[in-house]
Amino acid sequence: MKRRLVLFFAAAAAFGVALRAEDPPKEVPTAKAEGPLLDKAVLKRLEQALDCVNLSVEDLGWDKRPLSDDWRLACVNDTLDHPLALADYAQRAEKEFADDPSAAVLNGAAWLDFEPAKLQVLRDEKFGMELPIQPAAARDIMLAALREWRFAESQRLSAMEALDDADEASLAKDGVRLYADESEEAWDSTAVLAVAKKIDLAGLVRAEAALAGAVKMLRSAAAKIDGAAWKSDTWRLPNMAAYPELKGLTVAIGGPGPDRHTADLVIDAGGDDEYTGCRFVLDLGGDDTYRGCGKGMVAIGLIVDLAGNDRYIDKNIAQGGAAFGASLLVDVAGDDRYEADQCSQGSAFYGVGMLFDLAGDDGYRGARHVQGFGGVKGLGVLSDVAGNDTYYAGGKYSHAPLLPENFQSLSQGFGFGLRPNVSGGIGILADHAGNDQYTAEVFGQGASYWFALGLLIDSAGHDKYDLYQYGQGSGIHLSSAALFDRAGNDAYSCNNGVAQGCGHDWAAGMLLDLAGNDYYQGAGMTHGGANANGFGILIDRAGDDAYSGVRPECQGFSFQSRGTFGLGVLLDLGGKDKYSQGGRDGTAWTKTTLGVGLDCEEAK
Amino acid sequence: MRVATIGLFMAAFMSGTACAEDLDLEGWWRDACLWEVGSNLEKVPAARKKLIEAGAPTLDFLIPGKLTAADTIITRALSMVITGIAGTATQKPQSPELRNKALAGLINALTSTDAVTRRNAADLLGQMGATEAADRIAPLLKDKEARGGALAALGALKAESCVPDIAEMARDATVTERGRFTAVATLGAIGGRLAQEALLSFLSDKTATVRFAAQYALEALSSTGALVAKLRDPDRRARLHAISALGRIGDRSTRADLRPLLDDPDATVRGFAVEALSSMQKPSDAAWIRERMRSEKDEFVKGKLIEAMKRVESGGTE
Repeated sequence: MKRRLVLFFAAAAAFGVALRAEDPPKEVPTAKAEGPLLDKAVLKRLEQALDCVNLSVEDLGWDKRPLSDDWRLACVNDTLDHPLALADYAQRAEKEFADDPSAAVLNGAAWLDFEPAKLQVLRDEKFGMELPIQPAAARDIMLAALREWRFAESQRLSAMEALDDADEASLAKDGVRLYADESEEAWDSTAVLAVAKKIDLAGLVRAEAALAGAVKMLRSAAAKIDGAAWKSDTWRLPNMAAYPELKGLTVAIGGPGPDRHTADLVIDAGGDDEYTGCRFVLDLGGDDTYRGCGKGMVAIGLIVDLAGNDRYIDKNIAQGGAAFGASLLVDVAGDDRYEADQCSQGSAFYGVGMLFDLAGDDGYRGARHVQGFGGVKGLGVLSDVAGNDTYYAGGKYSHAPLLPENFQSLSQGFGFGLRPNVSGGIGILADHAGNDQYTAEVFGQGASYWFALGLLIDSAGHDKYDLYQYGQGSGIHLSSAALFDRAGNDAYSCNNGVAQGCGHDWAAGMLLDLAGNDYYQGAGMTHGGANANGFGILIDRAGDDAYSGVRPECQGFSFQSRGTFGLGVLLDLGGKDKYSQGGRDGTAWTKTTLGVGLDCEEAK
Repeated sequence: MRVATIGLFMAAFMSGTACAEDLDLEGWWRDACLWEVGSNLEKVPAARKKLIEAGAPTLDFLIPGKLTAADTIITRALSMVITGIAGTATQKPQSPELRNKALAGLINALTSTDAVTRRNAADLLGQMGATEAADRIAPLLKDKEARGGALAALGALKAESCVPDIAEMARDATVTERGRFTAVATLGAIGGRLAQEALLSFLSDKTATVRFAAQYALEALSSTGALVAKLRDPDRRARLHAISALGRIGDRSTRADLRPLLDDPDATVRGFAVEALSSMQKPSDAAWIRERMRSEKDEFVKGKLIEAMKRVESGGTE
């Protein structure tokens, strides 16, 4: 292997012509073979319920987007126009954002309105340089890593080509403030947004695709490495006119024991290591600690950790967090802990940020805009493939003046636009297995605000969702969102309403639970609720469920506001259920003008 | 001394430029535009009060300069402050001069090159109850970017002469859905025979938001006679809207018209009829409710009968 790599690079350098296409994009997976989540049986019952309030399924496409702007994503418009499509998007997200970062990025391109095939780029294979690294296996994989880094960075730089020095200074000074401003003071974002419009978002998607390609290559190469004899050392690359992207970079090799790394690019053979400020890391094993690594703020960042119980500690825009950049974190094994402040753990605005944790019982803790968050022109994805995981978002940024004693979360599958004229992006949290616990305060858990899309998907296990206000499958103010739980006996709790399938103010929200004996607790507008031209629906397809709410504004509820209607629907399609506000098995009920509940056995 | 101070203040006040340099209009306006919730509950009204008390300088500060705001939090502040100075249909202005000053500024703003300014100006004239401005506002119905403000104003001013144009707008498929249902709601706000006739036709509209806007408007107008006639409409949607509206109006004189619908072959119609009748229930209803609870097969209607019985049992009057 060692010999082959050396020869390859030598030959490429000698002939200087070897160009090849980037790996052709995988075919974008189509919808699951299971068919649509809202099949004919559900639609028939929904039609029955809607007739009770003088509506039909066809009516659901009423206008929910009276405003337009240049930042809008097609999936946002589509789900506002066709709110039942939220189930299709959730189903797609479950399939498309799983355990394969390369496939996820290509799929993600489509969510950001790019054709994946058009993101194909040529990779310069002639890359090569002298590195004084021994043994040769370490040198070869470092060279390969440098090639991948350079390729990804060149994509990012191509995205920024239209920016001049003043633009770059503006981004550096104020870019982070769009979503990670700690001053909480009002400021004028016009200049930063004007710069953002000059960025070629496709280039940032290509950069993320390149990082995902690097993961594939590095994992494959690492499988053949025996790093027992590696010695730790750090080098600064010489300035090379041919490779300006690598100017000033430091690279490090880590041996099998514990190391402390601060270099830009690091490949470490094992041991319990500490990383600080590294930009591109491959770690083969050990219980490692990362601080400020892989950050995607006007940059690319990559962490690939193959084994061990690891700890990631950061402030903003890290752990698969990107802003005007691309960031990817792949943790292959171990029980890991992720701690960050804002815009991290699968979070992006103007760019792509993804975090994949492929195994273990993991803990995610952040303050705001974390765990699957999408700001303007951003796709943020957190995919946790296995294990019993805990997610917490909140505890730092007060939601004053409205709720000064509570904290903002805006996390866990949250899309967020900038009111009044900048649409938001896509935030997706997909947890594919295990008994998981989600805790958020104000705004979160499959929710969105201002022309954005938020999705929380949980594929298996007995899960617990705890929220203070606004979320659990709720679109808030001209926005759409869904929470989809495929299986298990789940508990949903919300202290203060607008939750569990709600559309608040020209918005659409859906909570879809396919199976299990579930418990829904809410206050205020919950369990399928809406107002002001909104649409909210809770669909529980099976199991013996309980719906609890002290106030009457739940369990299929809506109220008139600002001269418009809203439609709230609760559909329970199986099992023996209990309702605190008047519903009962085998009947339909209506509340106010356009709130409806239907409990029945699903039509076959 | 005190008299002299007051005199100086009054002179300055009347001149409209009084002590402008001492007024923190920008700062007050900033606070006035905050969300009036939580810890802002005292700060926001206090700032608005100061702006209102400042009078003429505030009007100069806001009109037209601050009419470019699209955010409803800010337009709400504009409304509170400007009507606080210039008055409304039911609230006196600080002075006739200040009302005229606001009126002139807002009428002038109706022709602004900025669409949001035109829209806000129209809306504010409506809130002021400036009936004398209705003819100047009406042309904005043709202004795609500002007609929302015109509709709000013409509704507030009850400009009956504009009903045909507004009804036409509500029927126009090229108008946005929001524009259409807002036009329907405006017909309800204006009222009158012509508006009511138009509203009845919208109960059969293909677009749900338009249909429901028409229902709500007819409810607000208490159009019982017209709605009773709709109970025999061939369009099922229109019939259901009429039943629902009559129930929400609660005029007991319509009970006799609703009763036959309890035997309608359409279960949804029966359910709507039960609900409408139970909203104007009498204790004697218990008999027919009980009887129908025994014979009714449809679960939706049975649920409505159970709710109706609960209402009767909780107390109704003959």
